[in-house]
Amino acid sequence: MNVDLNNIDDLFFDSLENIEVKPSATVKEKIKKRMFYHNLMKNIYLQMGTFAFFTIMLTSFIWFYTNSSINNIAENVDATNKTIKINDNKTNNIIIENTNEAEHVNCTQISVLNTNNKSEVKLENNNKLETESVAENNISTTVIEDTKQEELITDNTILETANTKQSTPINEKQELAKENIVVLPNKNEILQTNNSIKPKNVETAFIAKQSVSDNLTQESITNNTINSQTTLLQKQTTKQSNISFLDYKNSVLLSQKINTQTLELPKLQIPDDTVGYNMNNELIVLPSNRWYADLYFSPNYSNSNFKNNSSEFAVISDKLNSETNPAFGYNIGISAGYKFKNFAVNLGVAYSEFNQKLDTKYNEQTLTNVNYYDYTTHNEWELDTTFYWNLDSLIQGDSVMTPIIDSTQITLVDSTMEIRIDTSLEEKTALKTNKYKYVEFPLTVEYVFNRGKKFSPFVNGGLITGLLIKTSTYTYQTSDGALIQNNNTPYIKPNFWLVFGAGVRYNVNNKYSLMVYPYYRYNLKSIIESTNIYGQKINIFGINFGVRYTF
Amino acid sequence: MALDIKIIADCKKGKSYAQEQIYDLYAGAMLGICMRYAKNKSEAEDILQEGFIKVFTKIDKYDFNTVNSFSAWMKRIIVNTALNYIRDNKKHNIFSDINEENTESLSYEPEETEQSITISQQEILQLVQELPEGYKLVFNLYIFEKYSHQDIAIELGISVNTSKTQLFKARKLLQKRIKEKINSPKKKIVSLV
Repeated sequence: MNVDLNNIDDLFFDSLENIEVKPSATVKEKIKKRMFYHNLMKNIYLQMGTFAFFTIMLTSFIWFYTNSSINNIAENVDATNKTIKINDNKTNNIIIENTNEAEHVNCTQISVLNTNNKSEVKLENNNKLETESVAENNISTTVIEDTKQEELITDNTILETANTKQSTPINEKQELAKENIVVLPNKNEILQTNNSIKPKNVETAFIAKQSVSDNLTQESITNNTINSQTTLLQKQTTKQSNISFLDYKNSVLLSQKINTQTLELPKLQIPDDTVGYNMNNELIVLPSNRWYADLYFSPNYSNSNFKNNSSEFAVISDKLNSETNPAFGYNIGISAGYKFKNFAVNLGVAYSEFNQKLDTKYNEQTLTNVNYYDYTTHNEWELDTTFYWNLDSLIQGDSVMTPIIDSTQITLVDSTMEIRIDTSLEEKTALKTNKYKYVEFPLTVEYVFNRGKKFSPFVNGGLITGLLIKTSTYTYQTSDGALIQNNNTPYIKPNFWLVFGAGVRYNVNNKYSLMVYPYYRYNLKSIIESTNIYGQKINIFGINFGVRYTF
Repeated sequence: MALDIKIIADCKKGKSYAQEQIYDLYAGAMLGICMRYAKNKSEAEDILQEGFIKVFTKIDKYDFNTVNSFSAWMKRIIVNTALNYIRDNKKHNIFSDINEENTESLSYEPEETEQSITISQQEILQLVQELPEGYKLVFNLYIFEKYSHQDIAIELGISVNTSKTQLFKARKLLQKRIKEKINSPKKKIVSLV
């Protein structure tokens, strides 16, 4: 190119504007590789995002649906002060009880008509009842003197009626409605009647309360006493009534229906998150800890299902199916979740190893060293040592003595040793273990039956995303019949399983629980790329053993 | 090979064959651009790789209907990638600013005589590659990408005067090196008998 130093710009522009340089072959490969991982991660995020979205939508719907039927949520139970704070959104009646467990019980019970407020009722030791009411726009505190209580009997069993309807209104917006009879024994005492009502669950002190039906008159309530000679319940006009218990140990108030005619007291079972029932027999739920962490270990039993990608390779996939057998593996993992009502959403990370036994016949090549002697025959003439003189006299016809050497032919045998290698093929049976190691991210939803009890059955299901980190597999080579370590199969790094499980959880206490559940995992796509002559899916059955910590 | 709009559409869907075709079609030209900004081929290939990754991942932002300007769109991405690459790999300011008053006196002085000497394309490319980074960036953007000094100043975050200065110095340096190249005696190969 001609150089015109007066026009450097054009010189360079003309020379280099359309310059093309052939890139190295590795550039293309690197770009392909990076794009593969880019698309891979994009797909994973997309699928996880989609699943998370639907999970959130589903759980939100379920939460909304189930929560709409729950009217009372106990926000706080203070075991020390024996106060229960209840948020009553819908119903008109909240029952709040209090006691002094040390001595004779100073107690009261009120029923508060509360339309849209939060109420907190606390009984002080001086028998003053403080009621805090959080109205829509104002907060007021009213102290009700105990002198307004009409009757107080301090015996082993205390009967107190609190006709709060006649006392000072707590709040303008509140209207006290129902009368109740409260039966409050001392700690560790059993409520006794002549009908022998003996609650079974009396390891801790309890409060028994009976909700009285509306058609009882004030007089009947007031005259209704309860002690060892009298029966409170006999004057009931309704067939069923509620009796409530406060478990000091767990700060739980429980209400159970009791048949007022037979006076049979049901066995008490106290769910973790159930405070009790209000007078409308609606559940009052104590919010328990929502978050939890699981640690689990699971032996698993996995099986591979091979499927040919083209019918011409059916022989190979059939052979692999017949020769590959399930074997035990394991997985271990941790997860965290959030529970609400009977549902929980769970996300974790786990390490899994799936094994399968390969039972196949193959040809083993044996090399043998063999010593050979190579014999070589050499025919040689050996000169012997005998000679004689042939005498020749100088006379014509006479002989001339000349030495003649005699020789005889001998045969010598030479030998050389050679080492040769002999090859033999022997058919053998291989018992190898094919191993597949994954790091996995399970995202599951759980539904618990019998919530809050010692044994809680549950079912769960969800999606597991696995990233293949290592394989150790063997393959049968058809060309020479040899069995070799498989390094060429194009395994796909990520894969997905649907998981379904059902089991039971043993709640040791409010914090810890043990669980065991069998599960089945269904492989959604082949773990081998579609370019391979056959695909492979790994389906897994396992039993999960774990411990849950709730916080 | 002409670029089919279907290839761009398939590339938007992430199909590898389409990505491969686009690469095959444009890799040579794009590497030529990268070579102007890089010091050597290895560095240029790094820029090319980053550039194509951006092209493939951002292609959904490219408007289908302007397929004719696809190469220009791609070139724009490659140039930006090159600029970012140089910025990211330089620890210090690559532009040596000069005072404004000095820039007034700077002007491009043509050589007095025209010399009819030839120089290869490879040598010209090498001259650009060997320019200091600041000179090289401004020279490339001004000469090849047809940026104005105002645009260069915005793109590189420098003043207009700095851009002018860098361009001036780049031209002078290139002139000087071309002269040196022309005047340098050719190497002789001596064979020993």
